[in-house]
This record gives sequence, structure tokens and C-alpha cells, in this order.
Amino acid sequence: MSIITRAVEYPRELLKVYRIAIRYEWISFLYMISAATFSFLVMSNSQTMKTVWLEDLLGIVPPASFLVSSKIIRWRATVKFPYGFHKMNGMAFLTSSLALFILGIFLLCDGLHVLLKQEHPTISNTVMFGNSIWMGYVMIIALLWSSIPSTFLGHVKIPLAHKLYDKILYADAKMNKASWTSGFASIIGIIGIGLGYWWADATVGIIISFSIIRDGYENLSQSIYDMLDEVPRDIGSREVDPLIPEVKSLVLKESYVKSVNLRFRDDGHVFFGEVYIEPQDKEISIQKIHTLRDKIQQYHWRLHDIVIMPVKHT
Amino acid sequence: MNHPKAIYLIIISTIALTSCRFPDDPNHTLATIRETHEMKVGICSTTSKEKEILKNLAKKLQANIRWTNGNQEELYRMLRDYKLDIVSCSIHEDSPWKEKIAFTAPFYTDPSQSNDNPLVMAVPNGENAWLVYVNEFIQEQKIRD
Repeated sequence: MSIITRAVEYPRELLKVYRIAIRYEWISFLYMISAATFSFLVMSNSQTMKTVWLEDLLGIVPPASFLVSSKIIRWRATVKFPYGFHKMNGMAFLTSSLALFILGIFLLCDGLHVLLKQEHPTISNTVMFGNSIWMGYVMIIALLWSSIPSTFLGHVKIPLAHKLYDKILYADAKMNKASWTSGFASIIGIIGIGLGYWWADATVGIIISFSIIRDGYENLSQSIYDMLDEVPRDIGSREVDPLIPEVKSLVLKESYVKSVNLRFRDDGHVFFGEVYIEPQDKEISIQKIHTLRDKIQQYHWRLHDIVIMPVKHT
Repeated sequence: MNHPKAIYLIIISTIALTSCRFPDDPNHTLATIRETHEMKVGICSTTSKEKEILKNLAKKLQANIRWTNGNQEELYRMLRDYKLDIVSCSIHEDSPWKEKIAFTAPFYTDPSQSNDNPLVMAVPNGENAWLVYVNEFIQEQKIRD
């Protein structure tokens, strides 16, 4: 039996879905670069747009991490790396959720700084084709470009994330979906500045930052738990993954099994697990163990690398 | 009509908004100048060209100029405290004060200088209506010249 784990990540049916997800993440990646470029050009000297630009810049990180990890997890496991590279997914998740969390903290500090220092935002005008246009309008357009396509992408990516059990994709998609609220709120902030309420944008920025900090914190803590090999949980919730009790009942169906105990960990998309069996008789045949192992691994694509261990008492 | 209340709200808000100046000044600089017919100007070693532009601006606003002399830093502080409306002090476009003070669009490039460093004027931070007004005025002057 090989001590090197299999390289196969997804079953054939899901490979197609994975390719679609990769395509959407490429679109997201290039789109975030375009949004960041646009907001950078429109930035002029406004603190407001500087914040939007940084949001867009940090929004490049989740799709980028997904794309990098999608390449690496396909590498075949080697003798040097017998567990394979599935964990790359977990590291990419940690990176992107850290980026999210830092963004939220930064926006909060930035907004508070503007309010406490009473810095009135100056938004000038620009001359285009002989007409004077207030930069606030251009910023609103930049905000619309940063938020509306993002929302559509988010809606498309969430079901893909569930099918693929991909946490990065899920976190990224949820962020995208919510971006229309933050974009809309920023637009209200700029209109507020236009009406003479200099504090409007900073206030809106602070409100948005709370929601980003909350999302960032949830994702960051989940990614840390994953790194610590926590019991696998269902994506997007704190419920223990339903696969685990399913495997337990599958094993208990075998007549030679007296009792069983399980230990699983989440390595990116797939589970690595140990199944401790207390057999009815004093001995158990190797053939039975192999058959059971195959049965479990074929039950679901996410049951990737199972070790069965007969024990005296579970 | 499914949501008459919402539609009324939108109509009323739109009417209310159009009667506002957009963008507006948090400190009502432009409105104050128009009402009091007085424009508070800060100068220091200012060229005659700059004074001419300021006089034209005042004429357009039908305001008298109250000149204040001082050094650049004093004038910037007065600007920050809204004691002055505009400061013209041979400020170059790449001034390091860009973060703290709002600068207008460049209005004049001294042909005698070797590097292309246009001059700008300074207005209080955040007074967007005033800033846009001055910029548009500068634009008009440029076209006229």
C-alpha cells in the first residue's frame, strides 16, 4: 500500500464545476485590478477615494490566493510531501481572511481619524471636454463600477463554493455579494459631502468597517481553526460536518464491528481521517479492513485518505 | 400605483436636493461672501498678476476685498480657521502643504522660470462649493487670455 496520498482532488463531475469556478475567479481577479486602477486614477487628493482604492486593492487577494492554490493542490504527493499539497487551500484561506480582517481594522481607524481630527474632505472639480465636472460624480461612477459587477460575481460563486466545499471561494463570494451595500453606502457618503456634511463619508466608512471586521474575524478564526485541525465543520456554519456521523453509521453496519471511534481533519477540500474499530472477535482479517477502507473512501469524494485501525477498546 | 408613499418621498427629496447647492460648503464660505459682499484675501510677496486675478474674482462676486498681509504659515493657519477665504502667495503646484490645505487649479505659469511649475491659490479644506467656483473662474480666465 502506498504511503503517499492520492493526488486526485475532485471527482470527474466536479472537475467541470472547478474549472468554471477557476474561470470566475480569473474574471474576479482581473475585474478587481480594473476597479483598483479606476479608483486610483479618480483618487486625486481625497481620503474617501483612497479608502475605496485600498478596499479594491485588498479585494484582489482572495481571487489571487484561490488561483495560486488551485494550481498547487493538483501537484502529486511525493515522498518528501507524503500528505500531498491539499493544505495549500487552507493557507490560501488564512491569507485572504487575514487581508479581509486587516482591511476592516484599517477602515475603522481611518474613519475615526478623519472624524476626530475634523478633516473636511476636499473634493475638487475636473475639466473634461471643456466642461467642469465635480469629482464627486466621477467617484460615484467609480464606486458603481467597484460594486455592481462584484455583486453579480458573488451570486454566481456562492453555489459553486458549496458544491466544491471551498472556503476561500465562499468567503470571497460572500464579500462580493455584500459589496453592493458598501458601494451604495459610500455613494451616500459622497452625496453627504456634496450636501456640506463633511462627516458623512467617514461615518459611513466606520459603519461599513464594522461589517467587514465581523466577516474578516469569522473567516480568520475559521481559517485558524482549520490550521489547528479542528473537527471539520459544514461550510459557512459552525455545525459539525454531517459526513462524520454518516461514516460512523456506515462502519457500524459491518457485522464484525463492535464499536467505532472516528477522528477527522480538514485538509483544504478533503478529509484525512482515522477510524478506530473494536472488532467483535479477537482478530480481524486484512481483507475486511481493506474492503472497509475502499467502501468509506468511495462513499464521498471528500473522504480522501482513511486509515483503519483495529483497537482493543474504543 | 404600487408604492405611492415611496414615489412622493423620492419627488420631494429630489426637489429639496435641487434647491441645495451641490456640492456645498460645510462652512458656507461662498454663500457668506455673496451675502456680506466681502472676500477676505491673504497675500504675501504676491505678484501683480495674482492680485489682478483676485480683483477680477471679487468683481464677479460683487464683493470688496479685505486684504491681509502675513507670512505663508500665518496665512495658512488663518485659512484653516476660516478667517480667510483665499490665500495667494506664489504657491507652487507641488507645494508640500497639499495634504493640509485645498489648492485651486493652476492659474499661471511664470514663463521666466525654467521648470514648469504653475502657481495655485489656497482655499480652506473641505469648502467644495467655493473651490469649484474658483476653479471654474480660473478656467474662464484662461480661455479669455
